[in-house]
Amino acid sequence: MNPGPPPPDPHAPPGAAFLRLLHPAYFHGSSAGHFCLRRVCPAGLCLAAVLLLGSILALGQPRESVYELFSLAFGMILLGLPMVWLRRATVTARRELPRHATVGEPLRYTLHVTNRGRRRLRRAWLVESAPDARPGLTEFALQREPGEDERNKFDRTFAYYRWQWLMSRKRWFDGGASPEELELAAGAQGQVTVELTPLRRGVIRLDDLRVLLPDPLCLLQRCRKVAAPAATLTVLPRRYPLPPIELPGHARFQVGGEMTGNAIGNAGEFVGLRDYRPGDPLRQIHWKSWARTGRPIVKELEDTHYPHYGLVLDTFPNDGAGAVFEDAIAVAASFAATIDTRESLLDLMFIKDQAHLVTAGRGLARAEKLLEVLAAVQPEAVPGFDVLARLVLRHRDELTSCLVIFAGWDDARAGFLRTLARGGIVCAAIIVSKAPAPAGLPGHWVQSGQLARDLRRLPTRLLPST
Amino acid sequence: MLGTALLFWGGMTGNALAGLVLAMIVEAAHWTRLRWDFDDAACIRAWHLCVVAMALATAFIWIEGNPYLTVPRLLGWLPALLLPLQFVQAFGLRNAIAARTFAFFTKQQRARNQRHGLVPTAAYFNFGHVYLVTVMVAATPLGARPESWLFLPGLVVLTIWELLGAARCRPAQVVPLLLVAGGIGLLGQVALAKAYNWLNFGSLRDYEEALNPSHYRTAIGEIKQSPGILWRLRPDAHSPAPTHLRSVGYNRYRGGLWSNVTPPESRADDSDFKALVPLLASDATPFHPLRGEAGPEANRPGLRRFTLRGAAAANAPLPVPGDAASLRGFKVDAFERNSLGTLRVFPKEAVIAGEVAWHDPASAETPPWLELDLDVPANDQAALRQVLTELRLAQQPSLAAKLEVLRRFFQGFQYTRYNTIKPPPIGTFNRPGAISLFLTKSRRGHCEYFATAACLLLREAGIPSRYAIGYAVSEHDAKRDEWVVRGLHGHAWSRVWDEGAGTWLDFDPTPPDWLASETSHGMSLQWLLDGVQRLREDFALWRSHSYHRLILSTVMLGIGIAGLAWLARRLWRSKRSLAPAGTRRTAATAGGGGRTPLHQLEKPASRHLPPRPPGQPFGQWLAGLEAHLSEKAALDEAIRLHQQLRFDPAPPPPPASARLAVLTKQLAAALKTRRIDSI
Repeated sequence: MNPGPPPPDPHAPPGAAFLRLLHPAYFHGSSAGHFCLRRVCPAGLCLAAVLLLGSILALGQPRESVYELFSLAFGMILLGLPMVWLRRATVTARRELPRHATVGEPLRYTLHVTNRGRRRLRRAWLVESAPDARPGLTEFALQREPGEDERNKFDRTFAYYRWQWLMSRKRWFDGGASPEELELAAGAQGQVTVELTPLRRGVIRLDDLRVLLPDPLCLLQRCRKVAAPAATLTVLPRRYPLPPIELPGHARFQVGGEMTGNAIGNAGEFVGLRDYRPGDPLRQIHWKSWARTGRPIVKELEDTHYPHYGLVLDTFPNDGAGAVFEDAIAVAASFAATIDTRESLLDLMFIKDQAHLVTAGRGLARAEKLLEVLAAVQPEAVPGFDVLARLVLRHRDELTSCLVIFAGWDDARAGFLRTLARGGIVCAAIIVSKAPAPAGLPGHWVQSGQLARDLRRLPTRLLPST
Repeated sequence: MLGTALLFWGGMTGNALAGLVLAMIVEAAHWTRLRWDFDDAACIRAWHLCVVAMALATAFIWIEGNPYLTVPRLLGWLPALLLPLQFVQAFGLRNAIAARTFAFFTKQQRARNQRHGLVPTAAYFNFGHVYLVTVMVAATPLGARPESWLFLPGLVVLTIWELLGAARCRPAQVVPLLLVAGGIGLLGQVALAKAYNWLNFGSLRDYEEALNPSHYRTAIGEIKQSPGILWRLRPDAHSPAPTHLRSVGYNRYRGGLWSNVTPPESRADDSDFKALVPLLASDATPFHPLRGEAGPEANRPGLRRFTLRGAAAANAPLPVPGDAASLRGFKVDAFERNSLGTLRVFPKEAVIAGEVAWHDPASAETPPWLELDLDVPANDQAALRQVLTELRLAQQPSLAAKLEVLRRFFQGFQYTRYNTIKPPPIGTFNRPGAISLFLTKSRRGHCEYFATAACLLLREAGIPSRYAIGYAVSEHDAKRDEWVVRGLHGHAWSRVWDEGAGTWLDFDPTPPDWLASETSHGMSLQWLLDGVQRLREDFALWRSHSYHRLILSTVMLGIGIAGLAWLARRLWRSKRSLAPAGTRRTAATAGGGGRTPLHQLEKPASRHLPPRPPGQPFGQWLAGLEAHLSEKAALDEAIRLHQQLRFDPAPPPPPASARLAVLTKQLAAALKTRRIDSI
């Protein structure tokens, strides 16, 4: 957790004066709750409830049994508290992380732990802390929880649900605790496994590893920071299985990745052997044939051509459609992971601050590159379909066809699709939306929140939008 | 564990049968393979069922008895009321339920989240632990149940058991610490009891005396009033309503406290209270005369009468006029009366109603016992004499004149509910009492000051007097033609001995405007509370009739059986069955959680093998032990059996598991002693 709330933003709207008062309360309240919950075990929480209940009962029912219940609970706390202060651990650790994780998929990784203390370490558990998810004042003041207008005046005024929503939206992962007990002799090294489930795409920076040292009754636990080098983990968007997809477009094969060679015939598929001609690169020489024939022989290669698809992503979600945008990303990731980039090229095109085009495919990059890019894509505040259209049209000669993933549906998007069609690009549209599908839609409708179901129902041949 | 806790709860609260039944239901999950796939919606329905059960139980307890005991009694029955949720936990296929199950508007929140595409943060927990804590707290014998010395040891044993069930606790640490905590519990109980006594009664001697059931006490300075209706009176057509209903009488005043002291003739008995003996009236109905020696004249036609109705707890004082003659028509086990006229009741029902005959010239109280009824504290004597001299009470010709002088004297005082008199600190030389300060300095206080001051003045003037607390009857409900007695009508006055008539008289010295001061504090929604209370009393009285009780019991039983049958039918139709013990591991492998005895070899094997890389099958990793073995057959067979138990869809033969366990033990022993070759 950060030591304190960030300074107030002078550009916050004037209506946020009350929220400016609320923010420190929520900010420090969350911090205190986090601090306590990490140091009190479930049995300790139960005991606290018993203490509270015993106090209430003792006021109304001056009975021996109530006093005994209260005193026993109090005695357990009294014994546990000093013992937890006596727990010590000096531990260092190193994370062995995989390169990628996926939203919603449990991830297991190994921690190599060394006991640097002078005593044997027993009854200790490691837990990975998620980065601070508390929103800043500006975010708290400007963001609106979906459907906040429907809440009553009290909830709207105190905006606690907004705070909770922002916290949950910024939470990076669930879990992170090691189920295995850490037991290490002084100076010994061991390893434990940690499991966590990423909750959102992006890059997680793991730099807060803690060792939990409970008291013998497991009521309270000491929480000490472990010296461990920070590590990052890229969380890819969630992907869904797709049926075998055939994208529309004519069989107009495009030049593949070998076009980057410095001369025709320098790269590509092997065609045959021929005599050396001045200018041929030395690496083309077929040494065995030269040895057999006594004259220089070179390999003749032919440029290969692959289908070249465009994956156009709509990064202009409507207000409050964050979930739809995330679903659109997941759909794009599903296609990026499914389209065979060994035998084709795939251009990911989207707008964020400026026009972006990332190509993956044979000889260029693997599909993971597109997934990594998709993991970092953020929505654009101002719609710019004209910029996106210019980007796509600029590459129309190279594209076999385009797959356009929309985060919603309206006239602007319909106009964008018409622009591409008029430019001679064969497009298939996938529209992700919460609303039911309207009639006469020029594409495939996927309901937000039901991606697995709707993507599985997609036809093998995607319909081109006309 | 839970079954034992429920048996403990049943034993401590006197609900042994209920505890046994609940324990059987909860523990049946270990004996049967029946299970249900309860989802979140089922958990919510179970919780709603619990809430309905708790609401019904609250209503039942509230109708049945003292509303102040509703919460403790409800708490005592929580193990039974929360059973639906525990059933879902114990017999469900999932091992945790969502915390949002308990949210008040769960369904609305879920619909809202779905509408806006929000994914709520789901927190799950095992309700069994919460249920166990509830059972242990509910085992606290609240209410009228006597305490048991087994409570604390039982609590300690259950806590040890529960903590040892957690993987993170070790017996060698938990057991001694819990025993120490038990000792702290015992010491804490004694200390808290003493602290409570000291705070409430000032000294331990007084507290022990107050615990004597034959004594009642009151203290100057305390005043508690509630606007709730306690009693209702409906006088006969030709009778007026009494002005005062006495609950308790006192005869000794010491240090600001009134208490009653048993007269010498009753001291041989254990208790001053004697049961009233019922007699038969001319119409063959029984009645209870209040005077021990009274006969049928205690119910003679010339007496004034009123019906009295209200909630009464066992052993609680019944407020009746000081000159009450007899009681009739109350459904009680017994009435008891002490020598100061205090009447206490042991009702059969929570609400009682009956007829009180009063205005009897003879009093049920014993004649004055001069040693106490003329006793005046030494530190108040000077002030009392000074006032009496000023009033020239001794010169008055009759008792009535003396009382009139006193009444006029107290007219100059101010009634206030707040005690503003602060006696000098303890240890002050010749420390005057609160009554001296009231009479000579502050001249303001509530009715207990007036009543006590009048008593002491009369005693100092040689007139035996006693102190009485009860209620003033002052509020008439014209709509229903009845008199209503509320908590805020609680009052104190004096009982004065009329030597000429040979009886005790009520003398109320408090200025009459005190009632206006009290009733001005009524609550705005009191009419609603009064209506609810009336409904409750009407229902309780209606139910007290045996015929009505039979109807009610039959209807409730029918509804209960029908509900249970419907529930049982639904459960039966949606039941699942766990795989038999031998095949359960195979079924578990579908979720990846199946374990075989060979997994016990993981720890000893890790001392000989490098760490198992993520994703490497257990059997494959274990095969690395072959390098250490001269005879590999045992390990090969163990791995083969392990694979078969985990992944073969056909049920393995029963000896397979046993054989694997034997092989695992052999391998573990060999690894431990490094005698690999002996296998």
